[in-house]
Amino acid sequence: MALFNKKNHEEEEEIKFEMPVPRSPEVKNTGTYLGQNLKIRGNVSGDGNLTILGTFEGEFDLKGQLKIAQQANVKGNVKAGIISVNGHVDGCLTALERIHLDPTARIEGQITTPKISVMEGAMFEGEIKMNAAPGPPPKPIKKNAKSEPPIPGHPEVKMGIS
Amino acid sequence: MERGNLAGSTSTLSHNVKIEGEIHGEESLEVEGFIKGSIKLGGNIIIGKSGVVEADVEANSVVIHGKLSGNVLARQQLEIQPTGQLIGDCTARSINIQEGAIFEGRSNMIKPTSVPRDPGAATKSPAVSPKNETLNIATQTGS
Repeated sequence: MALFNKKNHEEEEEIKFEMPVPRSPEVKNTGTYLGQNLKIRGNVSGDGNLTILGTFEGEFDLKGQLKIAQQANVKGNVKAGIISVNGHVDGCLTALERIHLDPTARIEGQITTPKISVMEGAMFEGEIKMNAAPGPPPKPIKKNAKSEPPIPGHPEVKMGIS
Repeated sequence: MERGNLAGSTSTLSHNVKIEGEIHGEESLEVEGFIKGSIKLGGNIIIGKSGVVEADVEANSVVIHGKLSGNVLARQQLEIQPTGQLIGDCTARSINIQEGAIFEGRSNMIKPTSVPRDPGAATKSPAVSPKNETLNIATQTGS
């Protein structure tokens, strides 16, 4: 009898969790999914992919891909491998790989990324820094710059030393 | 059972993600990752086998397959599965603890409202009364 009860429960739970996610199949593939009605204040870190639809205040530090959906409202510093923004962000965005702003994106703050793409309609107020992120991007440009002979009379050239 | 009527959708926290802070909302949550802080949900929470939660949790139903340290308030049911571990106090309307589960703490039941068993207890707030009663009894028997 007890066993039977338990099984019933588990089945119920499973059904329940499949039902209420009427999002695109993409969403299911991404690891973490923070729904629209969820409010989070604090730090989020990890190395999976994350989709956020809700409200978040604090700091993101992800190694994977972060997707800020249209309804999402993010306040704070965001750091991730790849960031794609559909929603509203107030704060610094730092991507190790690239940032994509969709037409519905609204951003106030600073963006730091080696690559960026912005769709028509996106709103962005702030500053973009595109010096390659300190991490992985394999950019041969730096090496070239170093191997070039220093140009006399150009004091700015000594970038690397500081 | 009101299990069918869920508030909002279900959020998932995968096993390689960690949240430190407050989480609240009209939503259900499935945790395979790590949460530290506090959780207050209008829906249910399921802590998966790899889930570790160090937080006070409030939700409709709480199902624990993983580890939870903190106090639990389950407005409906608390379920601790055989792999589950709860270190902390729980308050629930019904509890279901499976064989093999670990539970260390105090358990309080939410009684159906407006059924005051003893007339004196009715004046006290229901959430606090059980502790007070036990204390009173202890002191009375002691003196």
